[in-house]
Amino acid sequence: MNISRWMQIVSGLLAVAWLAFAGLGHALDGWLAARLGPALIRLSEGKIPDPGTFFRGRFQDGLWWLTWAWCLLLVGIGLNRWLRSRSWYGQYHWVLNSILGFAGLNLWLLAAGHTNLFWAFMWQGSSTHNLARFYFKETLLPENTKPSQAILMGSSQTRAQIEENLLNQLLGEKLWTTELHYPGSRGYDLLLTLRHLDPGRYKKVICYLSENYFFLSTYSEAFPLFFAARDWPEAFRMGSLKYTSWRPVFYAFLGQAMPLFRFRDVLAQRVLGSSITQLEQTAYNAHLESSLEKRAQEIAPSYRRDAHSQFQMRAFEEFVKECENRGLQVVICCGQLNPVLSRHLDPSLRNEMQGWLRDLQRQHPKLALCFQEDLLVQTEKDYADLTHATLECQNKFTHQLAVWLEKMDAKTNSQQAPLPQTAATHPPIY
Amino acid sequence: MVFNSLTFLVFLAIVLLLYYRLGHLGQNRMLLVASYVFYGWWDWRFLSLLLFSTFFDYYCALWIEPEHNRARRKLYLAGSMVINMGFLGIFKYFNFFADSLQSLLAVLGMHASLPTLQVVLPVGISFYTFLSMSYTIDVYRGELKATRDPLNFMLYVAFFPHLVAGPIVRASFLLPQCEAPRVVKRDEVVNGVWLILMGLVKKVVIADRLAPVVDWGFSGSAPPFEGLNAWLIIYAFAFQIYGDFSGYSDIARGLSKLMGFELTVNFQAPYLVTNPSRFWQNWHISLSTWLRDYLYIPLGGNRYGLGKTYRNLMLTMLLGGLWHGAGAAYILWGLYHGLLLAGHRWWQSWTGADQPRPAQPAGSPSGWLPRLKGAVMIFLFFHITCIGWLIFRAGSLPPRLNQLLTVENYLRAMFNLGSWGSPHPLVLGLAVLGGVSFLFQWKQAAMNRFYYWPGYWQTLAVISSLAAITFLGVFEGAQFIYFQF
Repeated sequence: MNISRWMQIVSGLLAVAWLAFAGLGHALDGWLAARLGPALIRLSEGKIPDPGTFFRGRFQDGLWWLTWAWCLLLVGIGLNRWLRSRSWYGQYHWVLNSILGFAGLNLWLLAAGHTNLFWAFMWQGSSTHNLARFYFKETLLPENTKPSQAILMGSSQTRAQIEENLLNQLLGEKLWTTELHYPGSRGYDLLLTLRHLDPGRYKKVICYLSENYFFLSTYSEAFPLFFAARDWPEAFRMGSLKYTSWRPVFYAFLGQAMPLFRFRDVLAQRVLGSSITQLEQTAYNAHLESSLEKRAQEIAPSYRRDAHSQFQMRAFEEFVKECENRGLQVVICCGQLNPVLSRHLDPSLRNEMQGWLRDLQRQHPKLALCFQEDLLVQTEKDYADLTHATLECQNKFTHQLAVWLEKMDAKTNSQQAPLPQTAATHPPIY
Repeated sequence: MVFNSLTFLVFLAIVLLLYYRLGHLGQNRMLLVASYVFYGWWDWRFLSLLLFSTFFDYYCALWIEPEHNRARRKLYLAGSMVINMGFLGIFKYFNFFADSLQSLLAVLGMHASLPTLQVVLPVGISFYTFLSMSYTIDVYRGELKATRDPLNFMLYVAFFPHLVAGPIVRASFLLPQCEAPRVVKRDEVVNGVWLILMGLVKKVVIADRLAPVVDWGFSGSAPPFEGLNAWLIIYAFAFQIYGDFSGYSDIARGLSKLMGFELTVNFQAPYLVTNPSRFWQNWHISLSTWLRDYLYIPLGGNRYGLGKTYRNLMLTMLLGGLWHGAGAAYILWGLYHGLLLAGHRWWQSWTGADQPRPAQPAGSPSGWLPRLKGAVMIFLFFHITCIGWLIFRAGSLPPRLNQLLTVENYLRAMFNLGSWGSPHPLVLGLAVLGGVSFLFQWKQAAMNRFYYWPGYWQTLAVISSLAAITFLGVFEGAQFIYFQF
């Protein structure tokens, strides 16, 4: 059988598969949902509310993968045929074919990266890579049909303070929250992450902020992953490139050009296992100073007010504006750090952050702002390390946040009532 | 500047652009300047050392060649050796010997405070001193004519692909390539590109991925695991050092091919051998042949009976160990391999395997039993090699850890038969990376003939390599291990 015949057969099979999906998909989804639905809802802790939609989505993802791969192969075969007619083809055929193959692989990944099925394959339970976790949840967002939705953004501190599942249990149908944090995020990273997200049903963005977001000058893990071509004009306008080294910019560029590069950590972890890829982090954690007091003394000088902190604040303001443009309400919890660390920080940093957030609220009246002091003042015992709360504390804080969010919604609904009381009238906690 | 860096990519692009536009003399001049820039990138001050060594050996050879007086010839040769060994002695061994002497005196009850030097080891000093020395020895032996052109000799010593981590190419092999106009052949360029790609896979995918595992495993004086799992760390180092060093050699050969040069093959399939003698015929071939030709054979080789053969083997390997670094662990590693070689020689003589045999039909052994026996022997000898790597790795432990104690703790853990539990999850990644490492060795002969592969294999190999480098590669990896030697 010649290659044209094969092409016809595979194309035909794909067409039949799509037709079958259109005609019988619902029945198959329903059948699977009836059998596996309860287990899926239980395993996903409510994140997949409609198993039928989920199964249909994954079938569609699978078909989309195959179709896209087949289209790329057909284009590759066509290009190869055209190249064969060139006089220089014979000498460099392997170079050309390799370039075509590598480009095809990246194009396929570009499409596959938008499907939940791809990220489901990258799921490794509790050791799932942060990027895979992020994309997995992001690709499920459009399938969520809850009427009122919010997304939770920020750094790992956000995740440590607010338990998404508990929040959803507490608020139920009133507000469904999807946690989309990325570790190490700062003000500018929030802006990049938001720009990366497609508009959806979510109407609120909840952020947990602390001094880390503005005054801690460390490298950004999110920048090379979320900085895209669309961000260049903004980057030049805000001067963001001044605050990052050439490597993340170069990596972001490579990542945009080659999805295989952008997803490399996730894919490497899938292939080699997390015990190898996360070993450096594990070793780093193991060698951390065991005394939190000493660790706080070491890290405290990294918190400072300078041009970089000003930039992060400007970037966060841009983030708020971007949310407004998208019709999203920003809910900010102005949180705290472990008091062990806070004691070593310049207290004026916190005052400055709080004052600046109040100013921001005045400029953007839709912005809802609450302070840690309104909810739950946390003590040293509430922290597992210098920034991350313990599970018990997370539980308490999530309960309080749920109550606060409910009150806030009630006030908003009863219209134009003043926003919840802020810390202005409360004594400082440190 | 390392081969797996962006800086080197820019450097190489400029060098190749100029190289293809220049005539022979221009190429040599440009390559020499480029090589000095490449070396000076680490520390330009060490260029003086390289230049001094180069000029001294150049003139020594010029003095040796016409000289008929044996004593004077020997004197010039000794001068060359004293200077080269002197550099090595000062920069590499002085502190080790001073510390050792101090410890010995302390044992004898004498407390002396000997001076130590606070110097940085110049990158690749062991490689270029051995390379340069081999030239004067060859001229002394009358095996090579001394070159009259200093430019060619300087290029031979400093040629950037081999300068910092070998292969230690003989003057008789490389010098003629510097002297005569070179032809850049298409098949060699294609093979060169493949060697570079393969070398990068070995370095950034295999070696640099495993480096954190090894560093973590050797961060304390005892292994993190007991029993079978303790072996995982040693396997990781075995694959890391193979990937790192053979990867460097592949890239060096590939780069040379792009410019019409040929360097000697430095690695064959060292982990697919069944005895120590074959191991050293396949591992760091340029060093082992150097030691054979300039040390083992002059010592008498195997010409004066078994006893002296054992002594020569032990001495050669001891110095081979010392070449790698000034430390008890490197000496122990050399002795370990000396013992293995001597033991193997004894076994051969005892079983009569060293006697000439009737010619065997060509091809690999047929039948499942000889194959199985071969596989078992490879498996066993790989583990024997791994014990050697444990000793070797202990040589680069941080000063706070006792090298010999670490080796002892590891050996106890590895052979603690009572605690051979279920494998650690690390085994998955190691299996993948080790599998790739073995694949390269298994298909070693084919790897050097990429140009003649069928087109679809070429395409598949290039796409796989590019993909592996892109998603498995470590781009902030450490320098090549052998730079420190």
